[in-house]
Amino acid sequence: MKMKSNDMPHPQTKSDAPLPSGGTTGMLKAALSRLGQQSTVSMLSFIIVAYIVVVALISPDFLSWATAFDLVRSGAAWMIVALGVLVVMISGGIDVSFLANAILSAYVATLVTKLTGIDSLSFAILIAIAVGAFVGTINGLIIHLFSLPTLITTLAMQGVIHGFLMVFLNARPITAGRMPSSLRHFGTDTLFEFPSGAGYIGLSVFVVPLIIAIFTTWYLLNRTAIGRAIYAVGSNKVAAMRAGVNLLKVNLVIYGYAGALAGLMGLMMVSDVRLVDPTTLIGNELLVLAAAIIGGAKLTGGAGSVPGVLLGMTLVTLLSNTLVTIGLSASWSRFFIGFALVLIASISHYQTKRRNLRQLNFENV
Amino acid sequence: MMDRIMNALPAPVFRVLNAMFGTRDEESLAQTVLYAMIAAVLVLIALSLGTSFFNPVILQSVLQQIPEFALLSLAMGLAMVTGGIDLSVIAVANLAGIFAAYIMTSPAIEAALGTGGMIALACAVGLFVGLLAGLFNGFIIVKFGIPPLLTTLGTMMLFAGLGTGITGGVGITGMPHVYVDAISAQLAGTVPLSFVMILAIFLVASWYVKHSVFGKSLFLYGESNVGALFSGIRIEKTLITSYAISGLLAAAAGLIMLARFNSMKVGFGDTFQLQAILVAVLAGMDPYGGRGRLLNILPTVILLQCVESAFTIAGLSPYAKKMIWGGLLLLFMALNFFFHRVVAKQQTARAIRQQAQAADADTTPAKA
Repeated sequence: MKMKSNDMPHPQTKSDAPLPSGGTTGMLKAALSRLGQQSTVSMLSFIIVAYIVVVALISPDFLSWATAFDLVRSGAAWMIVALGVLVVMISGGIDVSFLANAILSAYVATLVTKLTGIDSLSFAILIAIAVGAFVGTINGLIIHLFSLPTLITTLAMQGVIHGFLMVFLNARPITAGRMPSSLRHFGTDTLFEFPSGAGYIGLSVFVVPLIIAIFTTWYLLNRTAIGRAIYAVGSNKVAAMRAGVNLLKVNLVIYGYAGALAGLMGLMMVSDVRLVDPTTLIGNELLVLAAAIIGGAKLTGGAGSVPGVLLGMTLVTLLSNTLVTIGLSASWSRFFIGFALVLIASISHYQTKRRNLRQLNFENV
Repeated sequence: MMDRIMNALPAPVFRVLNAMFGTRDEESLAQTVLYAMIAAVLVLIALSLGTSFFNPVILQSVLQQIPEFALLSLAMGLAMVTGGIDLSVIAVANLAGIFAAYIMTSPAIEAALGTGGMIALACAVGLFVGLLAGLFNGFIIVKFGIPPLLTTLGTMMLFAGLGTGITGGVGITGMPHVYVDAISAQLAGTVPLSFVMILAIFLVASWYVKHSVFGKSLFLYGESNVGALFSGIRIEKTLITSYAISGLLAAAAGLIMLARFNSMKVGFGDTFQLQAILVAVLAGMDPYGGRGRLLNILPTVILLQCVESAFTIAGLSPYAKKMIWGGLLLLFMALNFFFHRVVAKQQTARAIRQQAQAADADTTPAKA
């Protein structure tokens, strides 16, 4: 077995760098670490393009404006919430309460819009973002005050938020007919349209909030002091504290921002499906976390970028929506997303582990 | 601000509590207080529901419903000993149950092995699937250095996705009657057999973890992974074994769920996820690792199941229950935080006092 794989030619490995000794395992390790050195963004772009080519070869109809616009429409809301999760993960935390938060915000926003009679989209968005940010801030406050593990805290908060919505607000589904008209239009409006085949196809207005969210997140992370503090806290909490970072402020901003994006996402989702169902969304948190991790965010913090998470979400959206096109049952989508997640996490963490060991850092033995 | 409130809480209060509960060290005191709180909840239930809760039928059904919950919590607690977490337990339970269900509903295997042989084979395969899943978890965690949280998050999707893919998301039903009836079998007509089994598993598991090298290594690793590495513990083997055991326990829970529902499908028992973490935290397992007693998990599970049954009798919706579990989890973690802080303060104070005494003892003879 060992001999066999040794005999196999490895042209790339040979031309690139001196082989570490150790035969097959050595080669495997070298290949793995080389994969890890590729930037996540270029690796993901390659995977996505390859996947699209495969899908297009099997079903040529796939390559059309209609498909592209459809993917943007169904993926925009998820990308927005993934950006919020990215910010949390860069700080070394994790959030699983965002979808409960999203549906709560959307429900409250719809309700308030209906009750006050102010049928305006910007008013609804404002309320959704405010509710989302408020709930997110509670997350941040709890995590900071009691220095609790973020996963368990937000898991508990998910139950609390959802229970609050169902029990205290006594939430019932709001059907399209009873939804404010501004919200219904939000889901179907397009930026521009052009005739194609039988009808018109157009780019959904969802790209506007998406682009705003992308820019805001990028600006927050890369051009503000608090953004650098978020990276600092994620890389080394103690060092960040010694450097004078206000942990409370950072925590509030992180979870508040993630909550605000979740609120926006919730409103987009209910506009998209034209139904405010308080029992939907929850249970899909993993897809978003997977997208962020596939996009290069690390649970240990300090890593992750906006382009990475966008590509990660693109891959997850593609895998969730196009498996049927290549002749696989849609029920396999989670398997493939899980597989991609484990694979990409393995590559990047293996890289870190090796580097750490070389520097005699035994943090993650 | 919170610090100031806690600092204001005087040490005498804790001394009184210590005396009340007959505990000596503060760590176990924190535990006792948590238990006392659950007991108080139970008393409240008793007062409000009376004999509609405390009657043999309900209590028996509480014991009936415990096994899978207890096994999943034990699996979770075991992962927490090492400072990890196993989010994939439910997915593993589902996957093991699905494999077992396929075998149990296959007429060809029944014809070849007979009903008894078929059930035995199904259980063996189910447990084997769980073992493999656990080994896979452990292997990924150890070899690639991925945090357990991330690993089990990924494998949770992987295993659940595998289950959904195989079954197409449809439940498999129609297990043999013998198997389904076994779950309600009772010892001496009162105690459910399944509960006796669980009790045995817990006693063996906690005894083994307490007295074996393996168990000691687990706790040491949870306390300090670098320390464990430098003391020559084979941490890779220890960790893989612990996740393999978690997988086995989850698979066993899956087999019990299969008998209870007479069917299996991905998504069965999803609510146990939050509850298993709640139980582990409540039973004093430190999510950061190194602390806790596995045996504590069983009484905690029983108490929680009592509360859960009481909620059902009181007619609370699943959402209300979810909210209460979440709220309780937050409350107990916050309380634990305060207890640990106070304990740490007392220990520091005691250490300073002892040092001062030692210094006195050192200097006195010199003067004399």
